[in-house]
Amino acid sequence: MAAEADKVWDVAIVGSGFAGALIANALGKGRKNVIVLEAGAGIPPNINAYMRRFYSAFAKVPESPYTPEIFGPNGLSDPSAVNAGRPTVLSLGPKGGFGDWTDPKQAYLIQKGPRPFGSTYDRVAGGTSHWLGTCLRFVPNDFKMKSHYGQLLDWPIEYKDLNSWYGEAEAELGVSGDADEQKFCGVEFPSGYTYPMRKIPNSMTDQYVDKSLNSNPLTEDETRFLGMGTPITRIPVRGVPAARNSEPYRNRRACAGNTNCIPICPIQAKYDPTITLNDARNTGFVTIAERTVASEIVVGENGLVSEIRFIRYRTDTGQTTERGSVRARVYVIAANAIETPRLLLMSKNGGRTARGVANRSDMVGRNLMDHPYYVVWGLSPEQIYPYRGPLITSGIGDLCDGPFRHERAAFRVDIGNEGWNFVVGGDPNVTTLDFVNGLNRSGLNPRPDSLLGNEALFGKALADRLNEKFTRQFRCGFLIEQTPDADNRVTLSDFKDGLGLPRPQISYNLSDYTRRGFIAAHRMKDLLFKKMRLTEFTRVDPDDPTRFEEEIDGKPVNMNYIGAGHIMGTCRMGGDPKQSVVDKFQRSHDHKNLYLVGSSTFPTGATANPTLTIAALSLRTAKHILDSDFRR
Amino acid sequence: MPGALDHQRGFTLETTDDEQADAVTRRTVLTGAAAATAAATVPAVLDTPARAHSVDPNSREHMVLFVLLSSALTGITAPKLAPGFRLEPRPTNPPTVPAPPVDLAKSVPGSDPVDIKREYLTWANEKYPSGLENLLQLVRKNLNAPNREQAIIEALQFGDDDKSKTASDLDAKYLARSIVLMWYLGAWYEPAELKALRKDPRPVPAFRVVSPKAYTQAWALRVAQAHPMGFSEMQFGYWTRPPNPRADFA
Repeated sequence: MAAEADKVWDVAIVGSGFAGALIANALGKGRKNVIVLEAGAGIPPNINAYMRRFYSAFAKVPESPYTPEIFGPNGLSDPSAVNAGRPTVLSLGPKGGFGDWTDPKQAYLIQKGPRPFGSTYDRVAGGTSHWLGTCLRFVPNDFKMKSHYGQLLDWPIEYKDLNSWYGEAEAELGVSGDADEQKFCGVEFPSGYTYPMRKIPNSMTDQYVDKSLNSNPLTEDETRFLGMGTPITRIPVRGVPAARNSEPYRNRRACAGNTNCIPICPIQAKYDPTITLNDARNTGFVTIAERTVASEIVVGENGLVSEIRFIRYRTDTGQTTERGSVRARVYVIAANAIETPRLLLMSKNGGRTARGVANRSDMVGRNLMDHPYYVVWGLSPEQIYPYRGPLITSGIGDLCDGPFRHERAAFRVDIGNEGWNFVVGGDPNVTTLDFVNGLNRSGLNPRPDSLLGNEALFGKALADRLNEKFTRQFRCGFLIEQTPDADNRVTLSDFKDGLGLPRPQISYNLSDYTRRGFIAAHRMKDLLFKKMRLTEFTRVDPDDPTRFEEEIDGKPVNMNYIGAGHIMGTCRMGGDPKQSVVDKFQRSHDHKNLYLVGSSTFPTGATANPTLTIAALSLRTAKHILDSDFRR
Repeated sequence: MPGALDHQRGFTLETTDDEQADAVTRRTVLTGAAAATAAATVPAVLDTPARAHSVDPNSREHMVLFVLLSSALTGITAPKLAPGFRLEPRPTNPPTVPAPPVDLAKSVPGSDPVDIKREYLTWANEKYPSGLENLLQLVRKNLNAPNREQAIIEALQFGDDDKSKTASDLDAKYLARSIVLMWYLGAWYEPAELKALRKDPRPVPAFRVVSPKAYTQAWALRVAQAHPMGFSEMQFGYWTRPPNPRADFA
């Protein structure tokens, strides 16, 4: 691309996930010449190759349809040989075993602990094809934790600043929802607002949860532990707004309930950023450079970013094919909350920005957050027919805000429609194997005093048994708000990737406030399972690196967590340049032509999935760039 | 009609006479064993063992036997596993007493374009030709039994320590389990590993997805009145109502 060397673009964007794609499209529509540097492979003409990889995959993990290859000839691919690597959930295993989370030969992230960071990401279009589609708004108090509850910190913006941008984002992504149903915990909509599409209907599982919880009023004794301030007698089960078509929308089909939003929707009824990227290219103003890894942000003597250097490769583990740089008037880093700080920290400018670009505050990389996800499961007394519909259609959101936030972290409850698919190591395989071969990995085929299973069946007895078990599987999860802690941090490792660039090093832990949220979630699980008359099967393996013990009601309880895929907080937004990295428009305090976008700028993580807020902030930033950076 | 290869080898598998069928089996197993020994001395790519055996995925009769075996073991009716499957003569109304013997030559193994049964039969035959032949022989032996499915299952349902069973019986049992898992999951679990797991159930079992098509044709979640994850043939909103009766699925 010789032309790249000479050209001065209006805007150069690093990363083509939600934030990068939405900003590229908005700027392209504004007739700005935009180049997007994408570290991963480009957008394929269709998803057939992804589907084939997914169907063939031995481990159908979120990353399974996408490149680069997860497996090499001897197990997991060695990240030191991969040009644009990525973490995988398979490298969160116990120490010394397969996928050892601390082994740099297996894990892309160099995890220093003390606990594993559980979330992963992908490369193509930010890997965001493998998201669930959930499009919840934050609730107003999520932006005001310090002033309202004396905990965490406030955002420099409020819900009312984002209200109309949430609407813009809902239109762009194509969200199905019911505005009346979503008015809880202070969430408001502009007068007469409707979502672009009607809501996705509740699953049979959702209906059973609602009936079990709310057929009779809950008592004050039962719900006191929630600390909601005023006694509650009802816990609503509400539909979850999702960027998943409930009717044809923008040339995409309605959801057919493939129960596969993650890793991939086979019919693209769920929005993903490749859709916006194609729109962006169709403006005629946006160019996407694939397999092009930004390696350094160059800052001139005037304090402005002058260029971004890149390294280009052709195959996932092949040699570098080109080194170059792009120049632009405005630069946007939209990598994600691990890769964005990594790039900033790598950019030392020969020592002039020794701590990294945009890092005078020393806050770049700090306050890494996730929604540590506490997952529980059981068997229902009646058939609730999981494995049908989108992965999640409803949840419990009303418990995510209240006076309890003075004391402990909030949580939101997801109700799974996929049975025990991921909780027992891959159902339907695990349970089927149990009843065919007389094993008991699922826990559903126990034999007293034996690790073996009780039954090994053939014929109709087998089909009957599998129907009886599968149709009653239930699982739910608690997304717990995590405190931003300065020591939960992305730094640079001495271990390199295939391009010779330092891989991200992660330090991660759970604070006491966050863990008190787990305790409340555990009590909520007890209430829910009691009302649902479930037989619980939740188990925490002794060697699970995320396992921890809490004393609850005088008894030790083992808990664990998985990553929610919600990587947040490493380039905090704020008003004070000493305490934050970007301002309320996501512009770097240090470099006026540099924007950092995506959930890296979230000061706090709340309990809602971050995507809609990423999208709203991105559209707002795009408008700001058009209005302020290109004003005549 | 018997398969052309059977004719060339001078025998057929179409007989319903138990004694004769047994003799055929012994003979062909021996042929297979000899061929396997020979194969050990030549490059494996020649795939000699599979060719030396009498199971032929192109044989309609063998396919009918394979579908009957699969149906008995999985508990899923043959026309669901193999759309278009039909035994001849067809049942009459009222039923003919006693039931006339199955005419394998005239029976139809199925006519669906997906034809996953062919992939599975080929797969099993390439990996375990003699074991598969034993299983098909078991079906042939019980073809006209009053309860064919039960007879087949009973022959394969015994403890590993059952002294009345031979090593070959034990191999047949675990191969049968692998075949059941293939139909249910579109994945292949090695019989030897299934056997080992019964001794030590702790290792995480390895398996291989047979093919993308096999994954989409898997029955485990269909018997749960759902669909393989990522392969729904249903329409928007179906999940908000109870599913159709089980009979519609399996």
